Amino acid sequence: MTADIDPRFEEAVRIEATTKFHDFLVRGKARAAGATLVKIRIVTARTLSDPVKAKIRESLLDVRANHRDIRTRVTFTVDPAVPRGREVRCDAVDASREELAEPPPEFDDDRSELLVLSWGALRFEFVLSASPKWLPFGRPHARHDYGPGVVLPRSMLAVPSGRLLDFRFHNGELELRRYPHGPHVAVTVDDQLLIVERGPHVVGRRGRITFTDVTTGHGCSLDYELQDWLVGQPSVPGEPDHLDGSPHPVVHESGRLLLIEPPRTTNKPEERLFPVPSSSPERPMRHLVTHVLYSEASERGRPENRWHVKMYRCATPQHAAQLRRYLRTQAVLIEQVNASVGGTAQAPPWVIAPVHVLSGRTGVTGPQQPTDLSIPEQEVVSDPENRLSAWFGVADRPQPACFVLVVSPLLTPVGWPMADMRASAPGVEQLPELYTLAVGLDAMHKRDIAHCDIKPANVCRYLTADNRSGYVLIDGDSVARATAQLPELRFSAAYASPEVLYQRHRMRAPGRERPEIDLREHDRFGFALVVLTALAGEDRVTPMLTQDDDGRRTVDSPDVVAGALAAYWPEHWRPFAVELAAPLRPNALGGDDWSATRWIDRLRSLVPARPSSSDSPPPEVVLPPAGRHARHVDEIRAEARSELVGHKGRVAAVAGAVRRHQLSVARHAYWREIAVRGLLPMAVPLILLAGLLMGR
Amino acid sequence: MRYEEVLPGALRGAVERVFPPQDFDESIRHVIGDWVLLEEPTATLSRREAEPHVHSYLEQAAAMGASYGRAFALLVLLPVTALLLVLFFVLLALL
Repeated sequence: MTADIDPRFEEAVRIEATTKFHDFLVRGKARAAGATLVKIRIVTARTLSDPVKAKIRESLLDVRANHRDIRTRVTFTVDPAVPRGREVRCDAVDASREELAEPPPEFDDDRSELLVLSWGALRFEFVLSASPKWLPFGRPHARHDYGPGVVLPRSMLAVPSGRLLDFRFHNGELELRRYPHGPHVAVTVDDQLLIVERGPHVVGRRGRITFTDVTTGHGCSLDYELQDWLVGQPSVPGEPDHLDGSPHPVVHESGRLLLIEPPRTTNKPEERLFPVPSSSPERPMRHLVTHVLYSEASERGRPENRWHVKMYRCATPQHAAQLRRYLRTQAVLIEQVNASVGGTAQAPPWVIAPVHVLSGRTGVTGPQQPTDLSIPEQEVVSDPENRLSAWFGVADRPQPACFVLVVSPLLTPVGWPMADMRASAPGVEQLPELYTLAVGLDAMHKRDIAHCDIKPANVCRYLTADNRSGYVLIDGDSVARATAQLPELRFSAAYASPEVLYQRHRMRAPGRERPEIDLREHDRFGFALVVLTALAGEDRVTPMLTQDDDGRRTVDSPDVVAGALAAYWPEHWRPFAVELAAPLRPNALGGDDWSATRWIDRLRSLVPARPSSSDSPPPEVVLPPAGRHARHVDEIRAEARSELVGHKGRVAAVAGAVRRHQLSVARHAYWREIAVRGLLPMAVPLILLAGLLMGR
Repeated sequence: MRYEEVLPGALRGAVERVFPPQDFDESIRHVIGDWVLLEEPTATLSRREAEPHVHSYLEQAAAMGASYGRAFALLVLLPVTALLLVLFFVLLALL
C-alpha cells in the first residue's frame, strides 16, 4: 500500500496526537507514581509515510520531554472506517520493568570528555561520552548533511570528504579505527598507519591525525586533544564580524528560503541558560549554556514576510542537538496553546507567538567544491557556511552545527502609553485587547503550561485576516510546565512574583530542598503588571519595579500602589483603582480560583457609566506649602537617599539628616535675630559717635 | 564629610531637645520610609504627609535659634547700645 501525500492531513494527525497526549499527561499527572507506560494508538484512514510517522513520534517525544516518569509506545493502524479520518487514543498500562527501561541519554556531561581538533588557528570541539558506541568522523559531502558524530564543516576542504575514521571514548581511553571508505587516502595517527582490517587503535590524550592522498602525495594534519569537560558552555566570543554584510540563507520547514540579516552592531551575544534533563539522579536537571543573538529575516521572493530570528550558539554540536530538542518541545507546547484559542502555526489568534525551530539546513548553494588539502585557513573562515561564526565573534571555530536558529513572525510591539495619556482617566479603551491576552493566559494555564516571562516588553500586537487585533506574548523560549522547580526557570526579576523572588532567595541557602512552585501565580503577576502599565502609563509603573538595596519594590506594597492609583484619577475612579491593584495583594493570585478573564470583567464592570470624555482633569495633587525651609526638606530627602542603608536604617538616616539641618536652621535664626535686634540698633550710636569725633 | 554646626552651648542643648526620635513616631515611621524609598509619582502621597512633619522639626529648631538670638540681643547688645548712646550725649555736652 502506498502512502497518499497530503501534508494538511498529516499535520492534522500530528497536532491531534500531540494535543491528546498532552491532555492525557495533564489530566493524569496527579496519579503518576513511579514510571508509567502510555500506549498511544494512532488510527488513520490512510497510511502515513515513514517520515511522517517519524515526525509524529518525535513530536510525541518532545511533549514527553518534560515528564520524566512517562514512557511511551506508539502504534500506527490503518482503518478506512475511522470517523474524521483519524483517531488518537492514549492509555496507561501496566508494564514490565524491561518495557519501562529508558534508553541512555544521548550524552551526559558528567561522564564526558571534550575532543578538540585543531587545524592551525581553527578549533573544532565535540563531546565524547564514555560509551562502547563508535562515532563516525568525517566531513560531509553536502552542506546540510550534519549527522551525529565528530563531523567537520563542509567548508573544511582540507580534510577528505566522507567517513574515514571512527572515534570512541571507552574504558577511559581514546580509540580510533579506520572506516572502509576512501581507499586513496592514507590515515595515520601519531605516524602509525591505520588499516581497516585491524581492530581499534588506542591512542594517547593528544596527538596528530594525518590524511595523505596516496595519488598526489598531498597531506593535511589535524591535532587532537582530549580535555576534561569542566563547564558545558561556549567559548568567550571575540569581536563580531559582519563580513560583507550579506544575509545568511536558511531553509524554513515549509521549504521557503529565509534570508537572515546580520545583527545590528549594538547587538552583542548574551548568555542564556536552558534547563535540560541529566542522567544524574542527584541532579536531575542541569543548565545548557548558550549565547544568543537577535536579528530579522525576510523570505526570498516575498520580502514583506518578515521574521524575528533568535540565533543560539552552543558549545558543541551535541549540545546544539539537545537545545534543538528542548526548543522543539516548547514549540509544540506553544502550538497546543494557540490551537486552544483557534490559532494555527501560520495565522492568529495566538496566545504566544508561534516559533519554528529550523532544522539547520542552510540555503547556501554553489557548485560542489572538491577536497583541497592545501586550502588556507582564511578560505575556510570566509566560507558563507561559516557566516554565523563570524557574527558571533568566533571565526576561529567554524562549526555550523553548533548553531540553533529559531524564527517567529515579526510582530509589532504594543508601545505602552505614558502617564500624560492617562492623566484624567485610566486607559480603559485597551481593556478589550487585554481581554484577548487574559483569555489566552487562562487557556494556557488550563493546559498546565506557563509562559514564565510575562512583562510589558514581551507583549506584541497581532492582526487577524478579518482585521481583528489582539495582544500576543512573545519570547516563548521560557515556556515550561505550570509547576516546575525554580532552577529550571528563566525570568526577569523585576517582573517576578514575590513568591518566585522569595523562593529564589531561599534557594541560595545551602542544603535547601527545591520544591516545585506554581508558575501560574508568577504568570498572573506579570499579567497584572502588563494591565497596570496599559491602564496607568508605563512611566508610572516602571519606577514601582525598581528594587531598593533590600530587594523591596513598590509593587510589593499594594496599599501604596492603590493609594497612588487613586490619586492619579478623579474620585469616581477610586473603586476601579482599588480593583486594579487587587492582584498585588499577598496570595491573591494563587490557586485555581483566580482567573484573568474574570478580573478583566470586574475591571470592565467598574468603569464609571459616564463617558471618559466628561472626566475633568483630577484636582491638582495638593502638596504641602513649600515653607521657608523647603530647600532643607529637599536636601534631607536627597541625603537620606544617598546613604546606602536598608529599610530600617533609612528612617534613622532621615532622623540624622533632620538633626543636622535643625542645627543649621537654628544657627541661621540665631544670627539673624542678633543682627536685626542687636547689631542694627547698635550701629546708630556708633555712627553718631564716629561723626561727632570726626567733626571735632 | 559633613561638618557639625557650632552653636552656643545653651542653644545647642535647646535644639537637641527638639530633635526627632531616632526612628520617629510609630504613626509616621512608614510614611518617612516611603518618602525616601519611593520615586515620583508614587511618592506624591508620602510627600504630602511626610514633608510637613519634617518641616515642623525645622520650624521648632528655627524658633529656638530665634529665641536665643533675641535673648542675646536684648540682654547683651541692647545695653551696650544704650551705653554708647549715653556716651554720645555726654561727649556732645562736653564738646
